[in-house]
Amino acid sequence: MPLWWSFPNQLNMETIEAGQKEATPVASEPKPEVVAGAKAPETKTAVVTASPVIRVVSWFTKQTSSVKLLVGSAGFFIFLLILLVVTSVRNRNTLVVTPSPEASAQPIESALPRSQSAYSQTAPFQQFEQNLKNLHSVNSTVNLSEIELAFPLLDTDVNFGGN
Amino acid sequence: MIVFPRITSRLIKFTIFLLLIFAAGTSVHAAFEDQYQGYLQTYDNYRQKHGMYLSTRSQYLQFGTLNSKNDALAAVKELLVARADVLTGHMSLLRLKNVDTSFNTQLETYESLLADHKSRVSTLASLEDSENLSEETEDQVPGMQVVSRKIVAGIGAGKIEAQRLQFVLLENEAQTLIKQLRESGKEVTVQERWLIDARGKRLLAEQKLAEARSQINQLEESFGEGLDSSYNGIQLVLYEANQYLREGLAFMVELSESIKYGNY
Repeated sequence: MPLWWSFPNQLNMETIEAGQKEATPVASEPKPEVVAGAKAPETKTAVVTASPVIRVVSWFTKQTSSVKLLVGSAGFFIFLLILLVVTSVRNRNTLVVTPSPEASAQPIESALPRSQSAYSQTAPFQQFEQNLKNLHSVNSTVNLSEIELAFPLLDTDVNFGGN
Repeated sequence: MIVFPRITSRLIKFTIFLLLIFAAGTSVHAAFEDQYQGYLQTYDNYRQKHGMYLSTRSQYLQFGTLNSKNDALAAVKELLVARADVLTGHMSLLRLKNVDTSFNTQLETYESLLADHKSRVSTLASLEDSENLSEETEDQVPGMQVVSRKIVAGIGAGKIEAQRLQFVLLENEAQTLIKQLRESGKEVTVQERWLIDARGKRLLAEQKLAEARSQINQLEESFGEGLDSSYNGIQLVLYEANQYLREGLAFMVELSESIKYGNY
């Protein structure tokens, strides 16, 4: 037999598929046998396991009011403690920037010295400059209020009900 | 050999003179400080006596017993003495700082009145007598207040006046400097401008000073309308005068800087 003859075509493929279907029958699931009069076994879905939250809530509702109050306050304090811890951690991570000791609004003076005029070296000008400084100092420190000489606050209505 | 000792002796004399001036200034300041500390103690003593007086007075008015009356009389005697001490101390402080001699007579009068008041306290035999004696001093207090405020305001005005005189001298110095620069062919328009501005501020300060002096003279008349408010008004005017002088000095500084760093 030539080799091409054994190559499957449309007709023999269908035959083969049909043959395969016949050769491998679908296995049917075995059904449990029900014996008359016997009790059916309990399934797992019948026992519902309650979540911890539900259990806690149900336990809480069963307690007396004093116990509820106690538990509530304890919970509140725990909440506060957690809040405190979180805040302190945040503060520790906060970078504190200390202000500069010098005011930032100070005028920036040039580092280069200004050249002084020859006339400023003369005695009359230096005398004038010194007098100006002195008067400026007096003006800025003058005390006009004279707190020490404030008139004393005294009782000027001494009487025993006669007047 | 002969000249040297003469110069040395002159120098020594001059040094001693300067030291004496310095010592005199320091002693006046120290005298005021001592007096002020004593005054504060007197005032503290008065507060204690006043507390005792209020307490005994309250008991006397509530119970009216002989014991409470005696206690009240003893307390009011101590109060009157303490009050007179405080007023005397205040007058002494005023006398130390007073620059206007026209107030000296009034201060002496008040001091003698207070001394007389203190001497009569020990003779008090009843609460009614103490009330009458107290009233005599109380009648003098408004006059004392007026004198006190006048003296203090006068001290402030004197300080402004001293500054004003120094300012005028500075103006004259600046005028001389500008004149010298102009004669040497320099441009001085800017400096003249600064000087005019400074003079303008000094004139404004003079106006304020005159206003303050006028208000000081009227203090006695305004006693009934509120001595404190009138006195505060004078203080404000004096501060304004001082501020004008400060602004004038700022112009003077500009003038000085323009010469110092200009092409002169």
